Amino acid sequence: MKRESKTDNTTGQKTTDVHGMDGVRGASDHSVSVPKHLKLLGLYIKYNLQSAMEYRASFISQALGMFLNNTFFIFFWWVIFQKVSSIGGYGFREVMLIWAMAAATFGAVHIVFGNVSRLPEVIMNGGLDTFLLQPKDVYMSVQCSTMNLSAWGDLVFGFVLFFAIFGLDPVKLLLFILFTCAGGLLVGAVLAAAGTLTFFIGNSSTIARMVMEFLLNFSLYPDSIYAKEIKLVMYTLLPAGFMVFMPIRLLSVFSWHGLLILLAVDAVYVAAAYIFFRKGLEKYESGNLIVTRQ
Amino acid sequence: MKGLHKYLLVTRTSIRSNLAYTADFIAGSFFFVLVIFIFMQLWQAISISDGSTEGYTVNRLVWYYITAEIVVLSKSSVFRSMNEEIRGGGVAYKLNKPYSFVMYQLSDGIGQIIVKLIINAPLGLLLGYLYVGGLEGFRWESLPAVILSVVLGILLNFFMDAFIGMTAFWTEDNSAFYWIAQKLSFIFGLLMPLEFLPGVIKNIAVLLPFSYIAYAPARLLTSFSVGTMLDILPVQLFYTALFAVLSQMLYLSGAKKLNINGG
Repeated sequence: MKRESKTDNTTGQKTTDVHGMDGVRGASDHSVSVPKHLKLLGLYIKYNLQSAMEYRASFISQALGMFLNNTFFIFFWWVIFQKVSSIGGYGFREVMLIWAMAAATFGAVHIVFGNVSRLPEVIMNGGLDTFLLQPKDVYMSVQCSTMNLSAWGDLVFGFVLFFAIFGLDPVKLLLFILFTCAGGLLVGAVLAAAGTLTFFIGNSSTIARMVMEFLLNFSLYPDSIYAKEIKLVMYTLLPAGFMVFMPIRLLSVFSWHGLLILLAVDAVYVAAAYIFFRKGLEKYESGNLIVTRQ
Repeated sequence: MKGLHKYLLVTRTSIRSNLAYTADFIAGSFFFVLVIFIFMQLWQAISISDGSTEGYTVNRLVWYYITAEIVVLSKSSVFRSMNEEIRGGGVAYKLNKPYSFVMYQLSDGIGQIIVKLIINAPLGLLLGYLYVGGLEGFRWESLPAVILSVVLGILLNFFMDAFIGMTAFWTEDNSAFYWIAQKLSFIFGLLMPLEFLPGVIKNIAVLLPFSYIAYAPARLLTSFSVGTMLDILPVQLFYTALFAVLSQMLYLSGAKKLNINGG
């Protein structure tokens, strides 16, 4: 496995390709070996991060900018809670926990699966050809091939807020890390499913963008302000409930039963998104696009 | 008038071009409905919890937020466009054209803004009426001042974005500046009226340009008086003119150090 730093000339976006082309075995051979793919995931993160560090000033300014960006909303909530002691049963501390969980989860998604929001464009532009030729799982490779640098600001912000709320509580920290990873996989699955629709309807970029906006916005305000119908959507179609609200309840009052239900639900979403993508991939037609990658 | 004709053509082209992207329209409208809906729920919950809302009723808060969102969401993509032009070297093709670069961007931006306003303004009015009814204490004579303030707020937002976008001449990545300025305008006027802020912060916010993007028109609509109008409009006009001049100066200064390789 060799590393090649690349710039995608079609988008101008800097990417890092960790695949060696010497072992190409064709599109149909994607052995689902979990340890191998976890290792590959680690390599993607490592090399994407190394690539980002080549432009250190840009990386730091983007991450710091995102961190500050989130801080402004904390100020907003602080002002609101000067006026009112609780909103639908949520106090300032609980709302901060919502923000910690949401920021860490969305940060993790866009660090690890930095390309997931661009999936419709990749499919439409015939960009999957590159990944189909590689000897690893297409679904993972296409999503992990880039990293969103500002997402580091979200991730760090989430953990800083967590420590401000719970201090150094090792059990809660482990749970928070677990929920960040599980929630990240869940969000990745939902966004990937929205992007996968492109295989079936030609262009789902608007739907994918709306799914992202709705999921994010439903994750940032106390769920108790919404009516039952909206809550139903938040625990099915746009599972902000399983991403943020159920985890924060488990952080406050832990139960093994609740944890197992949460992880099982996350697994169902992730598996469903994967199967949906594989079904969609059968409909993929290459555009024979010739791209110069340097 | 002849000098303005070319800019009107740019605006007309921009309107046509933006009207072609129906999917973006739909996405933008859904986002607008979503944020209005969430804030309606939030203010309602705060009001049920007997929170102090500085004399604003839920009705006035909802109308305040709708007006502020109409201004903020009806913005052009001038920051992104300038970044692309300057970093990608596209600005080189515009240097020798018989128009001002800033005016060109403004004309193009106005096209985008008009299209967004056509959607956002009626949609906002409809949402407000459906949810809380007409604005309590609305005065028809406030309308010209509110419309002027909305226009000035949108223009101020444009020139501030253009000003930050122009820093691409000097910086490798200026997105952090943009996010911070954007969030300052959210905190100082969009998300809540300035009256909600603690005393010292409120006094500082009134002096800053960020408050004159969304707060000014929303405040004028929901709490109109001649005194408020005279407090707000001249400052809004001053900041809009200031950032227009600063954008032009920054462009002239940046264009001198422009270095383009290749063709």
